[in-house]
Amino acid sequence: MSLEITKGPPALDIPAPPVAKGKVEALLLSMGSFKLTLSLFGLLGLLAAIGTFLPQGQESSRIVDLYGQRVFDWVDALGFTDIYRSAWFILVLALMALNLIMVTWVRVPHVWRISREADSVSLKDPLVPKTAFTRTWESDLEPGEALDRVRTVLQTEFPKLAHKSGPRRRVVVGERNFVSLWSAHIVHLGLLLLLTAGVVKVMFGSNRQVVIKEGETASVPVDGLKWGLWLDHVKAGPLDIPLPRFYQHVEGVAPFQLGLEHFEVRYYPGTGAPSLFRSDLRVYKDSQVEKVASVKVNDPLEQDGLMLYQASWGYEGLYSANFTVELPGYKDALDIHAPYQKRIKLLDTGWELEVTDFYPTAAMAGPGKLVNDGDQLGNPAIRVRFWQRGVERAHTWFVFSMPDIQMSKVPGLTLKGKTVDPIAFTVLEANYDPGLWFAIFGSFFVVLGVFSAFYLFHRKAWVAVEPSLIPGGGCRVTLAGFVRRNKVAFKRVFDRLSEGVDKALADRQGD
Amino acid sequence: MDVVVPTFADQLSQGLFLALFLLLGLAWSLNLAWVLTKDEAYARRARQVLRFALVFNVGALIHRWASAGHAPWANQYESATMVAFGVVLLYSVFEREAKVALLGLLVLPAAMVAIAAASLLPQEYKRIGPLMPALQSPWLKIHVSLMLISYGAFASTFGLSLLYLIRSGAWTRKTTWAALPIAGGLAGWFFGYVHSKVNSGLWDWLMQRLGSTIPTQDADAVKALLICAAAGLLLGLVAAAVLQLLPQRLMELVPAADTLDELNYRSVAIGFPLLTLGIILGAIWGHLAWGRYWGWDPKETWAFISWLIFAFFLHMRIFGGWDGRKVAWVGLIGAGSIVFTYWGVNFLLSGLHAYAKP
Repeated sequence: MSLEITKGPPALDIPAPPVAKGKVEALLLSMGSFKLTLSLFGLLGLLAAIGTFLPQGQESSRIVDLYGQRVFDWVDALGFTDIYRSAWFILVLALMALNLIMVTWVRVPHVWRISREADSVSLKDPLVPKTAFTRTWESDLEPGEALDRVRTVLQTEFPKLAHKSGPRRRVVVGERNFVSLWSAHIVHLGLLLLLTAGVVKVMFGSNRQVVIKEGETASVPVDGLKWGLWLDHVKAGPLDIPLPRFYQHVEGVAPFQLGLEHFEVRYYPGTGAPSLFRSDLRVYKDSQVEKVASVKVNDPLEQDGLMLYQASWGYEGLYSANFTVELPGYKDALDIHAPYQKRIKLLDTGWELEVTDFYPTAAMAGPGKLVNDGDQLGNPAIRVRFWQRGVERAHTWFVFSMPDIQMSKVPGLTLKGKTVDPIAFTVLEANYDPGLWFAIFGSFFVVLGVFSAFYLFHRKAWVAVEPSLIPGGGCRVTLAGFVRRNKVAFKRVFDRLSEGVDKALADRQGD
Repeated sequence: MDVVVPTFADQLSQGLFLALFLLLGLAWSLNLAWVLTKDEAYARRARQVLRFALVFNVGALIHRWASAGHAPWANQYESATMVAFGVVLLYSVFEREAKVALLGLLVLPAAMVAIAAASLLPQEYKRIGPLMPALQSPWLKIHVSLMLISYGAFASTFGLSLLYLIRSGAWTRKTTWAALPIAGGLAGWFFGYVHSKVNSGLWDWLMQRLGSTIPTQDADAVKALLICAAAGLLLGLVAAAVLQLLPQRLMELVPAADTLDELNYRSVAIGFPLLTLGIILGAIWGHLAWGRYWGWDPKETWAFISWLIFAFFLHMRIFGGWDGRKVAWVGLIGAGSIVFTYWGVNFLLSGLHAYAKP
């Protein structure tokens, strides 16, 4: 018996590119080239990475602080201040889509042919790909007898076998998971669907924010689409390219209104860590309450095709403030509960006051200059107007955390803050995405394709039996096995098959 | 600054993670003994310790889960133990199959470094804390765990790519002398930068030694970062010098380049689908929580960049006809991108995924 095992390099499975029949076809075929695929991987990765290091969109002015005006001018000229919406980036994504389409166009017929041939058996030489594992035996058995024996061995790994007989050679072929030949194209289809989802969302979708204060009602803005012809000016480096556009977004409103009944913030006991943000809403239609609903982080509300998400929140205005006031000429401080922007009398002192303004997070912007630095309850301050017998005496800010600093110029007039009851507002994201189903199917196909590519190994094994070329000999048995991936695991399968064939042929010879 | 006093549960959890670190160190030492003596008894002991470490790791995670009341990968410190679990689990799978003695020496430090780096963060980053509203979702359990385990798989890609380059002769002594000090210098700088950001005790100590005033002056901070980078560079030089002393016969323990190439492919075959699924599930979570499935947030973007690099790896290996060396270099770059996605983004870039802080 002679034994031989060959092991080649990883399989190359790229069909020869079709011959182009004209310049346009040549250009299209070049769009599906492997080099372009790799270049686009690199370019997309590079542009994506740049976008993470440069402040994007509204924050782009920070680039001046970080890197200086000169760098900012360059970055801005290249469109890198909003890189993910820049002409460069969109061009790369468009080329990626074209590349995926052309790759599919060129290669799918090839895979289709292989799939169709899965059940057929080639009797031609070379019997198997050069890269297959092979082993050959010379046996004393009759070819038919040998084939029967080794067929049962092959069946241990490949339940379904195909047979074919030629004038000299008889072949049995087993094949599994040829579906995985389609894996790459399933992934490509998924990626195309994801890119389509992005285009559909940008063109036909809407993503707006609605701000509602407690106790108030607001309309929900929604982008609509208007068809026509407009010219866009796309900046690509120093170039200003006019591009026609056939649609325009127009702002409309959703067929319902939202009222914020209450915004709830809860904290974990004993900590300052928030445990809950919840907007308690009323949905109005035609001035009637249609339903009462809540929106929480991770728990959006769907209404008339719009998804409403909890995006942000803060405070603006007050219900009331609690503080103590010392008035000139009075020994005892007064405990005050003052409604916001409402003039109240201070007992029979002849004094009146009104809380006119409120800063949730006060900060000093200069000597005596107080500004608001946020909408969270960080460092509250109120501005209070005082009257004495109908005459305005002071209109002054009081910072709750700094009771020793009194900005009032009236001697003896002091105010020390205790608590505030601020009015919350909620920011909801109103989102309409008609491309969502493209994204869902795209994601499904990407995952399916990737997993089938790695975990459904296409594998094929052949046993060919032919009369021996040695005078007086019985037959020559050739076992071959082929996989495109995971050769290490398949080598074990092949070794098992080899041992089986060894045993099958040896048993027969020993009879 | 408020002093954060750890509770008993905090101390126990941190003690368990420290013990896990020591167990991995023991497994690594036994691996080294196996490599140096070629005595299979050490290999058996190393495997036993590693199996125990895996069980121990699961136990530490369960304790943390029970104490916190949520999946224990909600911040940088907690996620480190999940990454360690991924590294050890997937390394064990490879080791069982390939029996590549040197692989453990390269891969296990990834888990140890993840735990050690997280353990050096200040107490407020390590204590068991409640879950912020954005993370209160069942998707936390699925999306984050898949991402972290995929990172673990790519630790094996790192080790196998490096071994391939050594085996094939592409990684020479000169490469060691150049790469280790550079990597050490970068790691040192990043280490210093992270500690300056989190105001750790280590950073305070360094600033005190420099006589810096409060608030810290920029010039002092730059000086401190340079010291950290120099220390890293020096460590890299020492490591390079130690590696030069290793006997050449160790090369006999490295499997054939073809085998390493195939194993390398298999490590990506585990990591890449997990990374793909993790990104997609994250997109679904993003859609449910923020109203968009993709927003070019730095974490998303870097996960996507890592995905592109490994997609490049696969295309070149399967269709491109690149030899194993180039593919192995791409594997190393991909592993670097994963490290940046995991640690770098959290501290160098801002975004919606900024959950490293408590």
